[in-house]
Amino acid sequence: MTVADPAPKPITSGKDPRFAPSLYAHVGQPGSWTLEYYRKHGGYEGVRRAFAIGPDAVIDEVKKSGLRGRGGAGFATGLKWSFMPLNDGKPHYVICNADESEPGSFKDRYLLSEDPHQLIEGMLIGGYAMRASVGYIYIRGEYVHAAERLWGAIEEARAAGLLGKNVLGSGFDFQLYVHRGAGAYICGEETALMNSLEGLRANPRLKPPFPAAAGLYGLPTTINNVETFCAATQILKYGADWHASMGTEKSRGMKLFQISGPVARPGVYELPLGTPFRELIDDWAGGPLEDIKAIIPGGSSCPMLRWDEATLDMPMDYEAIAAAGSMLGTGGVTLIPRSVCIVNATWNLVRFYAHESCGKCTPCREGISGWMVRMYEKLVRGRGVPGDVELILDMSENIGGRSFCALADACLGPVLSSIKLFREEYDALAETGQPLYPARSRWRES
Amino acid sequence: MTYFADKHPLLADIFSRYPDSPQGRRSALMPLLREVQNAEGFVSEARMREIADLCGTTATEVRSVMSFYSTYHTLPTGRYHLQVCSTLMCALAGSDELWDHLVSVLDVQPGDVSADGRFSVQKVECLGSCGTAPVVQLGDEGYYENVTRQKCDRLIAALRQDAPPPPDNPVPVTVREDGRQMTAAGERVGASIHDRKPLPAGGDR
Amino acid sequence: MKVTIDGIPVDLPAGTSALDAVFHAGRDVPYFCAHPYLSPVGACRMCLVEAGTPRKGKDGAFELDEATGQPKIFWMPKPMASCTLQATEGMHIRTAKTSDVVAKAQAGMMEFTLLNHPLDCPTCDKGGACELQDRAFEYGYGASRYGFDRRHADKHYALSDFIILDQERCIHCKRCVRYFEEVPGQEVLDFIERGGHTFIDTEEGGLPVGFQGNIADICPVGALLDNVARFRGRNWEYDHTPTTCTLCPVGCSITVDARNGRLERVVAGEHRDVNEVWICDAGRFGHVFATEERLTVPLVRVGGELREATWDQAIEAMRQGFSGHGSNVGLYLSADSTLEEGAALVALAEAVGTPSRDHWPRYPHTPMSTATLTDVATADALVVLGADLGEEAPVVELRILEALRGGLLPAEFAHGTAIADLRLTERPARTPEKLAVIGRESRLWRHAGLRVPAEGPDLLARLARPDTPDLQAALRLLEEAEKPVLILGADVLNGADTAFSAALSGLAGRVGAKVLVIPAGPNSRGLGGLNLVPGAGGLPYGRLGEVGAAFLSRLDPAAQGLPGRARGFTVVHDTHLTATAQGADVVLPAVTNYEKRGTTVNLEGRLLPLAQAPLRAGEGADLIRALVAVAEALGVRSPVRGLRGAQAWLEARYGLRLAELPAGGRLQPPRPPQDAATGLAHAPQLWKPRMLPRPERRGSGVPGREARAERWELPLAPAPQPGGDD
Repeated sequence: MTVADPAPKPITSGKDPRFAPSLYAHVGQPGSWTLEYYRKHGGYEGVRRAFAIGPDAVIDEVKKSGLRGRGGAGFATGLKWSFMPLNDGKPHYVICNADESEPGSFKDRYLLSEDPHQLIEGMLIGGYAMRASVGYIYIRGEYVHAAERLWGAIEEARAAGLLGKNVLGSGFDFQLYVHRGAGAYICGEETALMNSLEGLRANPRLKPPFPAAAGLYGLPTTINNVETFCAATQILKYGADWHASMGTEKSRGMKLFQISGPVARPGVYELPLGTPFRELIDDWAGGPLEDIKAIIPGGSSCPMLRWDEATLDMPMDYEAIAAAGSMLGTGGVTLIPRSVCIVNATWNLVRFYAHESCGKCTPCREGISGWMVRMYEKLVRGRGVPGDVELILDMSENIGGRSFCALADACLGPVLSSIKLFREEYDALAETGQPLYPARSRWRES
Repeated sequence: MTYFADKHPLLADIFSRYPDSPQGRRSALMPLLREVQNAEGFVSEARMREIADLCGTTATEVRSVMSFYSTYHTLPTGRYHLQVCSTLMCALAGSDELWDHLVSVLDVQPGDVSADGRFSVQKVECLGSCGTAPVVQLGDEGYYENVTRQKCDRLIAALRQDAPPPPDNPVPVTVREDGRQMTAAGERVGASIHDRKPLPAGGDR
Repeated sequence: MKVTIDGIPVDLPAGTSALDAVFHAGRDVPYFCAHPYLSPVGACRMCLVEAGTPRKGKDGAFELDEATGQPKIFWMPKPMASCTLQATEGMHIRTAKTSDVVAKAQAGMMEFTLLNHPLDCPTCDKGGACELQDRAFEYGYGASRYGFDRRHADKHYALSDFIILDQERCIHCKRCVRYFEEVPGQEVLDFIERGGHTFIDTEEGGLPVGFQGNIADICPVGALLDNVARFRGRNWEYDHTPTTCTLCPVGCSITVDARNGRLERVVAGEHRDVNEVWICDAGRFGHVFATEERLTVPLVRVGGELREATWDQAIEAMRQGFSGHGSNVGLYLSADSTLEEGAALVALAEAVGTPSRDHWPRYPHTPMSTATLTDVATADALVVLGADLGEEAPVVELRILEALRGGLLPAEFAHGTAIADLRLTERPARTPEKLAVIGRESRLWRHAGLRVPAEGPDLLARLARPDTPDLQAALRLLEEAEKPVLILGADVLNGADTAFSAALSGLAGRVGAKVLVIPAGPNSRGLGGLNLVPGAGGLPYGRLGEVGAAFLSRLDPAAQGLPGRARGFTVVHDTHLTATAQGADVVLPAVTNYEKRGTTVNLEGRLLPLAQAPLRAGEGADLIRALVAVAEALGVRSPVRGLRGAQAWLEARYGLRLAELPAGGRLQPPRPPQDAATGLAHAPQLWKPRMLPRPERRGSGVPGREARAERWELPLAPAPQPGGDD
């Protein structure tokens, strides 16, 4: 080792010769979901190492890796794991949030169906670190194929002694079950998910108490996204330093970015955090097929960004996108073409949130589900009047930050950003009843 | 005859996933609803009461939970229940036209079943297939993805023959067998994780 | 803990919600979903406030504001729902009074809340007493900018015979759903669907009778309505009379609402020590007898037939009828009579010199209660022995369930009971293992960890010396608890005697349990202490047929299948022409307990006041005044001739001071009741046939649409569609 190693240039490009995709390294390979394949590629080495270094060291390792929750909020995973009480004598639970329902997000689906053992290993690591002996994977009901793969993988793992009593001779007992959802976006909210798992309506719960204190069945519980658990597997396998060497200073590691909309190669790309939008869109996804006017950077809840050079040069990490007034979210990037009426597109998303509102609190149930969606319908149908946009803005002020959970605020993401960026389209509709961009067929023949 | 009367192993399996407590028993509610719906196509009031008894609750609670989630049905659906994703990412790929086409070709409105009992349709929200839009889900089974107009017509024709094609599962393969990713230009770039050795289990420090 | 609200500093106990802090400081914040006896959920979002807290620096001291030298307040970035926000040391709170942000947030929220509300206040029973109406005036914009059709739904959806739901008016506060889950522990009502389509419904074929009526009280809007009182009057037309319910020995606080002399509605009152704010369905809906088919004038038998008469004629008839019987006269009254009425009857009996006096129902011997209802609610073990609480004392069941969910009594503040007690949680954890029920099957069984089917008077002895593992477990439950309570009901008390009492206090002493004895009648605990039982040679009520002549006040032995007459002359004092009254010689019109002043004693031994609601009773008279007439007919002068006289008599004889009883009554263990054989077993029955509402008897006099159309002989217009114009 040399004495004064100059700080290496951070890895913030998928094309960086030092960057090797790991989360998605096996997705799409024949038989990638089988235990045999997984083992052949170093499977369950991460959990072996976890058992060797002990649970507290696992949490330290995850802390050191700089891993942040990949479900959208970006909370430090190691810190979250350390909130679980120690030696309280109660059963603990780890839950995997596989209720991937955020429009624009579809990364977990392939992790679940193509590499289920990576998730099982991550949950074993999390369960071991947090002293939980039972884990649940709450998978959205529509992911039937993925659920079947998961069941199969769990059966295989159980038969191989990777789940159940005394996993790999470590003395650690861990049971893992799959619980299928049934169509409710709100189950992505962790407390709503726990209610759903308890056989209740998926209304979000009051916090505090936080899940680490009183979660599933009132017991200490930690919930993480599929990608987060998978990243934990890789961190334990290849080390915190390896993980921390990727990404930017505060956004470490690799991330599964998804891209949808009119691009040549929509799909999922594993890139280091901090990769610029331009690289994702042009180099990986093959560039837009149409003139684009806006980007949704991380799933439908994240405010839209204008399609311009500044946005394209923006690094995709938690801080840079937040500084631009949006969020990294789940990393689900959607391109909105110029030719699509932005009011109509936003109406589509508002309809989504209206449909998914749980109905518990007034601003979301009445404000979004009752009023906002109708205001948009009225505008798009050409029955808007001048003043409607101001009304939407004032209404949004009365909704934003007033609701019980974040769903109502999530709806305001596209609403407020689209008004801010494309006010002229709104005004045209409100004043003339005619959209600047009339609808046209977008369905491919073949 | 109750639905679960002769299915004790199944019940035991479902209940074994949750704690042996009143709360744990209640957790079986959704799996039991799914079980009945997959067998009978919908969940009747009698079945709600049966599930309530099994879960230690009331039919009111079962109906309340059931009605909260969008994939449970209280009325029979068609043999082929087609769910069309209508959220923005699919809409950008023409799902609105896909929906209109389905409704007019099948001559069925949401909530109804076509005259031959085959088809029912439902608009649903994001199915997580944004990269392979538009998407149609068949019942509680798989997805048909990248549903173009021609593919849609082929699908309808096959279903009319009661020969549903196997669901699609196109996996977006971006990482090649050597572990390196390929750019849109066809270049293999970056490194391969296969070249990196896992840290030894004994601890590396 | 110091908290500052709009600049007003207050000192509060730790754990107080911001909402209670606001009210404690004398400020106001609107709320719909919070309710003092239910868990706070933060659903309606009306109670928004701005809140900020000081922060501690690294040295552990509060960071100071450099300008003022006071701890610097870090305001939360958005308004918080005060019902679910815990006030903390040094917190500052701003309400709409001092914060424009809060004022706008609340006005906006009110606009959302009213979005789909039909605003049909002019035809709504809740109008004038509606939380939504009041708060809309206080905090709303005054107009809505919602330019679309409101949601239309069923406005007359019957959740049961007693409760009608107007689905359009519901604002989804979830109070009713939480009430059923948290209080009576019944999952019988819940939200269906989600988002903007959410509505409440039951799948049980109707709400169960028991405690369903409480949801009409707690509904903050006119969505859940008391069907017995529906469309009977506006809130400002009612005379509200707070009084005590005397249908059972619990003695719940109620408010009697009367209009034009008719009792139209009973709503629950708050009594923190007795019923909190809950009453049973019998107490709420079973009041129709107070208005229907009342006896309003005396009746005298002439030529074998009862004919209407004046009081003077009735007194004359009684004078003739009683003559020749001397002191062989039996005086009997219902055990729901007041202490004052009991005093009047004892005084008259002594003046006449008859030992035949009695009240019914009662047990030959009633052991003393040592437990209060608060003891029940905070017990850590409960054994219920031979009681069917649903028939005997329903609200005791609710207090037991309160104990099983933690026995958390809401805190009390300057503004009254805590509105948002943060210790209460949705779907509370329950501890059924703390409850053992021994006896016949009842509604309470579902909640008990230990159920022992058994019957008969020897249950106490069997519990004291258990002969089965179940009974051993029940005894162990009492032994191992710190604050156990033993509750006794009719099945064991019918056979009670002094030996039973001794065994009971022996067992209670041994295990350290308090005892709650459910008396047979609503005031039999109080009346029994007045020596209102047969004296030496006297005949009990059960042997009415052997007495020479008799006077019965609001007792109906004929309906019980007992002889309805004395051997000779029989006078009945009642509110209705009962089977017994129909066979009497003279019938005097009585008044119900809703129309009385006086005092009753509940099962704890708590003196509770009755107030007089303005009901039309014709010439009906309470027992004190009726006995004055009887005394006149008997040719004696009773020392008790009015309420004050009765109270003076009670004070002189027993030292009972009833004149200045506070509104909430007073816990004052009464004298032990005298023992006397009854010759009858008491079978508790809460709902009497005449209490059942029969809607067809309560017709408004307005004919139905078909009837009207027929009368006008006009062609029928198409029936209006539900909803109609917006």
